Amino acid sequence: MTALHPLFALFIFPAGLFLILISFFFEWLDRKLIARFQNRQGPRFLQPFADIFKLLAKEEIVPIGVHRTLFMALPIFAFACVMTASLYVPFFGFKAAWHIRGDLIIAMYLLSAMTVCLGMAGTNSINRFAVVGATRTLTQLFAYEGPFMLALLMPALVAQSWTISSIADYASNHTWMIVTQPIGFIVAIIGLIGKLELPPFDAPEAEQEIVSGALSEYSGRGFGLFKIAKNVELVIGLALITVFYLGGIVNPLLFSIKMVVLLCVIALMQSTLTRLRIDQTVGLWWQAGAILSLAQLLIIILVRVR
Amino acid sequence: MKLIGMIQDVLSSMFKKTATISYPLKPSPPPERYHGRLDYNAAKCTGCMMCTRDCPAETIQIKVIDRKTKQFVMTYNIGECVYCKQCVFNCKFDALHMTNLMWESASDSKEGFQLYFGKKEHIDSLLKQKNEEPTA
Amino acid sequence: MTDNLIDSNKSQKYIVPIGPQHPALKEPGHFEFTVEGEIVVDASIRLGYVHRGVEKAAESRTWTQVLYLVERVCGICSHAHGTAFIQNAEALAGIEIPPRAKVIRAIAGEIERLHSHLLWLGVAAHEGGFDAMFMYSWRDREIVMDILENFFGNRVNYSVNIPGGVKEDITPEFAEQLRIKLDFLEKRLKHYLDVVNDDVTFRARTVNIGTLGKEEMTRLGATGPTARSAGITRDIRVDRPYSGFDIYPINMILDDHGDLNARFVVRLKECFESIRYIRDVLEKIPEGELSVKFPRKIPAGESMSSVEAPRGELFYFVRSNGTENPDRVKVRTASLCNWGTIVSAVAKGHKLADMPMILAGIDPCFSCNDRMVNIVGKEKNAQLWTWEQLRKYGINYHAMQEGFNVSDCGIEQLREEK
Repeated sequence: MTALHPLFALFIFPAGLFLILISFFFEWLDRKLIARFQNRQGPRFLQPFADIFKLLAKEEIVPIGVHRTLFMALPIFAFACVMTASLYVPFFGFKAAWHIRGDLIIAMYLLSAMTVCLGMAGTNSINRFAVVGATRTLTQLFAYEGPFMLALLMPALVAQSWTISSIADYASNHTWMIVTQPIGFIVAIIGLIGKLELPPFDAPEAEQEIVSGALSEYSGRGFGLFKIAKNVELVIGLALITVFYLGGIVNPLLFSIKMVVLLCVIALMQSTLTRLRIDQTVGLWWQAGAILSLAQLLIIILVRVR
Repeated sequence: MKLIGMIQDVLSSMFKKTATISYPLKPSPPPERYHGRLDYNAAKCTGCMMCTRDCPAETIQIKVIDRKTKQFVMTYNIGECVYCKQCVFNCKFDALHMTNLMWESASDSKEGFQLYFGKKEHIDSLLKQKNEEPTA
Repeated sequence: MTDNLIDSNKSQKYIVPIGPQHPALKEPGHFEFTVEGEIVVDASIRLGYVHRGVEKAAESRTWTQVLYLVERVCGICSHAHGTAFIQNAEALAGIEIPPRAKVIRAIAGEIERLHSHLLWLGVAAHEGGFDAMFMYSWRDREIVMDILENFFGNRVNYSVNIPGGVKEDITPEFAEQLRIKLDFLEKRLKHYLDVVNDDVTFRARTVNIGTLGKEEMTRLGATGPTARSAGITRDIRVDRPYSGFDIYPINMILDDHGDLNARFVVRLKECFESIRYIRDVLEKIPEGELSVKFPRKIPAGESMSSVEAPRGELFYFVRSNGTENPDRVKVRTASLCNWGTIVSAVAKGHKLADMPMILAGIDPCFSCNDRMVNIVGKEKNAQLWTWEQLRKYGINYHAMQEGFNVSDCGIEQLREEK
């Protein structure tokens, strides 16, 4: 491969521009599905693109009382985190752009770093809503992170590798892991909802209480970048779960269908469940989520030892 | 299924038409009894001014040109009207009616909301008078 | 920034302000919740952002014009406001409206209750982040709005009342339409009641949240569904039946839990009762005139009337001085009575996340309750009375007026026990 290849992978495909565009599509699909579930019409196809385009064109207001550099840098950092993470994830049936040993841990770490960025963005400002939102974001991070991590590590344990690509290879050549590890799959998909702060785990940005949570003070470019980062995180999360649990790398069409089906499940949960309070969220994760994933882990270890 | 109460609605609405009406493309006609624009019949009016006295928005004005030959000009602002139908009840001579017209009232100027009922020459002269008045 | 508001040493209090502009509140009101972490330790409220001077404006309008003015005090319970005011005017003028008009007023009131409770159901669910319920209940509310539009001509301020009667007649064809729509609505409401009672996540947010016992509710003077959810038998339609409800009585819906879930249940069951009532009354609606003549001038005098608005007791005091205009109109809306149950009792100890739902739980209406009280000062003719004095005076006044013995009804004892 020529020197062009890494740059092409970074900026155009599979990461970069292509990923951002596809994330618009997934955001639109998510909103449209929820609207249809609620008997509404929902947004037009180009709505997410128009939203982001408008946000990026707008003035960014830096409020009083924030650390200016941090305020400006956090959105970029969060955006960079998810874009870097996307390099290690195989999208739409293509091999991952890059792989090194243990890149699963790197991807997970980068995705968490994005959430930490959100938390820092909240605590950076003196807005009370933002501070409460940031506290909730970070509390929720500690709640779902353990079980979600375990749920994604279990395929790694089975495949005996910490590299996403080799886990994907393993998944393509064996039975779908949703069959062999159903509990892990459930924990993973609920963990993804928690990670993306979607209902019912949207206490960190519950608009009825704390307006827009940690991002209350963000406007214009910063807000737009955070929004893109979250959309991309949705795509990465869906792709990871699809690769691990739904039969690895297959042809692009089938892969997209699987991702859309997963999105349907997420949208269904978003529209049928009431928002949980933050204490209920934490309780649920540590009481049910952690124990379930530990049980799954135990089963895997027992099966493997035998 | 009972534990997740709304799941039935949510799933079945995927196969249903949306409750939203795509309004400008699909006009929705007002019902028969809808309180729309006021209609005035100068031939029946006696100029008793009962409609103006109880109008909550104080928007009806009747200019008497000649009471004998029933020459009246009724002015009325559809932007100020609260569509309560009180004037219709106050009118003992059946000169006022609520129609279900003009419920999509919109105009690019305030004058667009002002409606005049009566003979054309009277309205013209009235408008001319109004224009000539110095705006204090 | 050195003067960081969060960890300033001056005050250790961390206050989360809600309002006057806030996504949770569609009307302006200002709340300050002092929180420790997520737990609210203190709450205060400031109202008065939508004071419009309605009471003063009423004094310069004719009786008929005031009817339409007070209908606009509240957009959702406009019929209740109109009825409460016009009952006073009719009482002062010495007019008895025809029974058909009375029943049509009652039916309009119950249709209004349906639309108000469905609206509330959506809003309260939305405050808890349950948007599916919000969208569906508002979709079904549109049926009630269509009934109002088809029948009374307007969607919101439908002005059914006219001094001395009602405007529109209920024709048999309309009654048939109404029955069909009510059947559908009843089916939907049954479904919502099931959701409220069974849904796991929804119950997690409502059961044992915002609980207030019967004694505490009585002490704070709650009215309407809020009071009835704690088992207080307080419903003007039953206690002091007014137009229509004296001819055909309605049942009171009670629940004894006093928490948020009970408020959902009480309001939904009230919807069923309203549907039952409308159905029954449509069968046997009395024949007769729709309105009687109403004089332009009303003899001097004072009158009070209460109406059970969807939110609770709505009270109107009217004084006439024998002219075309009322001399004084005093409005006391239900939301004002219910604020106390949130701010002084329920809020403390709850999570911040529960506050929007608890606030929505009393079905607050901000623009309803903004009145102005001008205390002139001690040196002038004004008197400052304590609650006890005022209560004693009220009991004695009514005992004198109505001629009953105070010791019989046990009001005094109730007070002393407390």
